[in-house]
Amino acid sequence: MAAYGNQPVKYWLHNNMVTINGQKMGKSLGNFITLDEIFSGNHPQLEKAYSPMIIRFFILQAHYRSTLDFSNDALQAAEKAFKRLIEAYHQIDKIPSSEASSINIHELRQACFDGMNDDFNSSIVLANLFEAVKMINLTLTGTETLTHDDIELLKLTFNDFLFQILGLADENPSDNSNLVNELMNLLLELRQEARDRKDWATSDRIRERLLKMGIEVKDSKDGPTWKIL
Amino acid sequence: MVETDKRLQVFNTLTRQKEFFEPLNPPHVGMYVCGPTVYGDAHLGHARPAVTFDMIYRYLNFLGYKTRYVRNITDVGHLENDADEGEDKVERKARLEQLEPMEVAQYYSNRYHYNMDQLNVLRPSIEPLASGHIIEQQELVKKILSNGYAYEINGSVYFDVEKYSKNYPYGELSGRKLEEMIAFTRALEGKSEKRSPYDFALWKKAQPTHIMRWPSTWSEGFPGWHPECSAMGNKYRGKKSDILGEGMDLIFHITKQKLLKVWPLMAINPLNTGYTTTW
Repeated sequence: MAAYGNQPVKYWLHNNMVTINGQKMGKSLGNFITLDEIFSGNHPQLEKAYSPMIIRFFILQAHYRSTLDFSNDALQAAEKAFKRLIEAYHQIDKIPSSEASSINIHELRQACFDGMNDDFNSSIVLANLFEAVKMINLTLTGTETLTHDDIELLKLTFNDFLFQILGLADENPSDNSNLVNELMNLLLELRQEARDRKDWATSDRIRERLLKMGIEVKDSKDGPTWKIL
Repeated sequence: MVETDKRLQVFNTLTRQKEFFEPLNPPHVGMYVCGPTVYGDAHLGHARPAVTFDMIYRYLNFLGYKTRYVRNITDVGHLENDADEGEDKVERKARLEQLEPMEVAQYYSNRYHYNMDQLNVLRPSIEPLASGHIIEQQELVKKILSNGYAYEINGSVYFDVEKYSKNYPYGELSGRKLEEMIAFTRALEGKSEKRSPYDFALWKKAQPTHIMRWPSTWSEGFPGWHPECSAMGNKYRGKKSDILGEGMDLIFHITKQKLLKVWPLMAINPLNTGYTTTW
């Protein structure tokens, strides 16, 4: 470094590119998919919509110096994995506290720090959080045990790494459920009216468009139900 | 500091190895990240650096550092194909959409910010606009001219790569040699008034149809794309900073040029203007 004593910058960090079919995704190549298109699912190459947090999770699953290859399969895998992580986080409060811990949460937390300290390797951090998911599930079935303090430390580790440092957020639709519920009620009402007059085209269109947005509508004896996939 | 007994290491592209992170003036950290050119909607390729450097910013803050995060917005001077000839990207979009260039820049800046909010990307500490720093860029060009590493031709000013490379190490970041760069640059650009194809524009004389233009010693014109980050970086991150972040594809033809632009100043005439903040 001595020869470069007058460097204006000490550390030069370069993040790698996003590829699509092995090519760099970029404006000049015309092979890009905008974020609005991804969030709405409105692009011929997209099988469905992907929420901002799925995209963020997808990006952080790879170390920043590796290339990141875009595909529907990869995004759907990211969606499932991210959901699993959030669901496990919500289960932490249900873990019964024991006299002694059979697993080491301090080690888990240190492994997360080690990942970040190793050139901001978010991929390692997430791999450790998935280990934590396994632990959570084993404590819920009683196979493993945790003390009250360790349960708190486990929760803190999720809060620190998943939410504060990786900046991911729980996109639980119940947070803005009022508006969503009202809009869904309106759509399902309109769909029901279409069905009543045997306008299957409209009825199907509503169901398919909702599915594209990631909302599944199911018909039952008691009327239609819906859920966000 | 938090409960971690192992220290942060970062991979430094300059040395091509992992190094312990030791800021120049702890607990302060200066970080400059190349932001978007605002002439179109943000895509996945924009989301990645934004999320990456957001994660880094969040972790530095988590560790207790006071990070000044500067991310610029390029609203002028970025020409088609990242070249020195052709139309300005923002201005071209303005012509196609029949808008003012600044209208285009504001529109896409707003949309970029909205998308970044959706991705939970924290706003930077400072977000300077290239068009708001014309004087700083002109000052930079003057200094490089007075150091002898640039030349004026027909109202435009170009960086003299060959002259510079005789006196300074060249292309550390990409590890590629000058000859490779010549071939690369020739492929990108056609005929030019430049002395050598790998010289790059610091100031461009505006064509009659060009809307975005400012008076200068050399011509009515606009700054080249590359002085922008140096000028704004010098102003906001201080004359030295800890971290510079950008896309890997830029290592070759941009980072190197950034080095080129700043080094003559640092080596011969350390920049110490009144508004430069040093840590």
